[in-house]
Amino acid sequence: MKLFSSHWFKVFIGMAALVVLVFSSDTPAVMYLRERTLTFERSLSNSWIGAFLFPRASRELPSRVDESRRIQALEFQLEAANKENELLRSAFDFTRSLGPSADGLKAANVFSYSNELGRETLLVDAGTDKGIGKGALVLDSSFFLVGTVAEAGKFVSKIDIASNAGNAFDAEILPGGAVVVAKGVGGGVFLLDLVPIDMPVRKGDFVGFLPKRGVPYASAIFFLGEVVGEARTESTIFKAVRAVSPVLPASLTMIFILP
Amino acid sequence: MTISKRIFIPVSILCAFAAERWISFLFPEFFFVPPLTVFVISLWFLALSPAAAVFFSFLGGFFLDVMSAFPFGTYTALLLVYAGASAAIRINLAESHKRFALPLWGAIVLFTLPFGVLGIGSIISFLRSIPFHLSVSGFAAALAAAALWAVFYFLLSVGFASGIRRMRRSSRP
Repeated sequence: MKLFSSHWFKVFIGMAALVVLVFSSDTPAVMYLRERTLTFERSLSNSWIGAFLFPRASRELPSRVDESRRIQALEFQLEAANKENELLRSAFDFTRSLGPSADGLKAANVFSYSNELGRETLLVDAGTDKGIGKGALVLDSSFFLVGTVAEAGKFVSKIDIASNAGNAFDAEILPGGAVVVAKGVGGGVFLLDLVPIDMPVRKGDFVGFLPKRGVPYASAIFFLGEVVGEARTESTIFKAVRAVSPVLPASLTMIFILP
Repeated sequence: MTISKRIFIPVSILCAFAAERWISFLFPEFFFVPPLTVFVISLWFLALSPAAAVFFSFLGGFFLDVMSAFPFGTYTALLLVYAGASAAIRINLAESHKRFALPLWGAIVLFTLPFGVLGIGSIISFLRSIPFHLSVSGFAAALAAAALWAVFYFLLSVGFASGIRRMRRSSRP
């Protein structure tokens, strides 16, 4: 009898500890522990054992000598592209105020990618210390939407990939211009809802993400994906369209965050 | 706990963690990567005392929850459930069936993991009002993949065990 009651006591203690851990997960003490663990993982990812535990695309780069040459070549290309860009801007009379300025973007390095039951997540080495908050937009180097910040710690943030199931965004099919709702279904695929049935949509059309009104970059359009085909629906007014994001979260090494 | 266990437990868990990440990194088209970390931790539960299993549930669960996209506490709760279930299986499995414990328990873990993660995640998100979406199509795909991994592991482990037994028999004089 004593043993029986002792077992139940242990179970009770275990359950109580779990409940305390879950319900106090947002308290400063547990948040501190969580952040410390993530910071430790970030440091670990930069060590030699991190190459084994946290695979990253950038680790496949050649040695440092080749790397410096490659960076020099890239800097040269960037300068040339900037000059070409300025020429095009003046030719088409575009102004810089149309899109987000380079100063507003915060660059961050990806140190972990995980896929749990189809939910993709990135961990990056920038947090509230760089002014990044929950819900901030995350872009890749080509201005394609990668996702949003799900959790922001002091030095580390967790990124929820845009195409994960359950995410939905206001979007626009380009060049048609129809405003639709893009729903993530996982695996880099979006289902575009509320597309008028008479609207012609072709394979290869771009899907632009419309940021919320009121934000500084509200007039900018970020690319979400590319139309790959239509999906069957029972509606007679709207049709559903399938789009695919060209972003491969597993291969991302650097991302840009719009705080 | 013996010294060999103290070494093998962390090494095997780290290897499983790395393998899981390498698979998802090298094959991003895999919708459902086998959850090797949870799988290896739960396999060790069969060889550990209940107190040690609870300790590893909290430790491993916290580490996984910190990195996870699911509500905080999902993996800790899941590992605690597996710790309890492994103890129950160990007690109730007849002596003659003990050799099937490892293949059977591993297959159970692999198959029930989508139910466990999504079920516990939904409960925690409901209790704490955290937005959490359960995709039916995604769940069906995860379940199909989990069933595939479970069958694959069961056949592989049973085949491996019977192969070793045959080798031992044939080597006897």
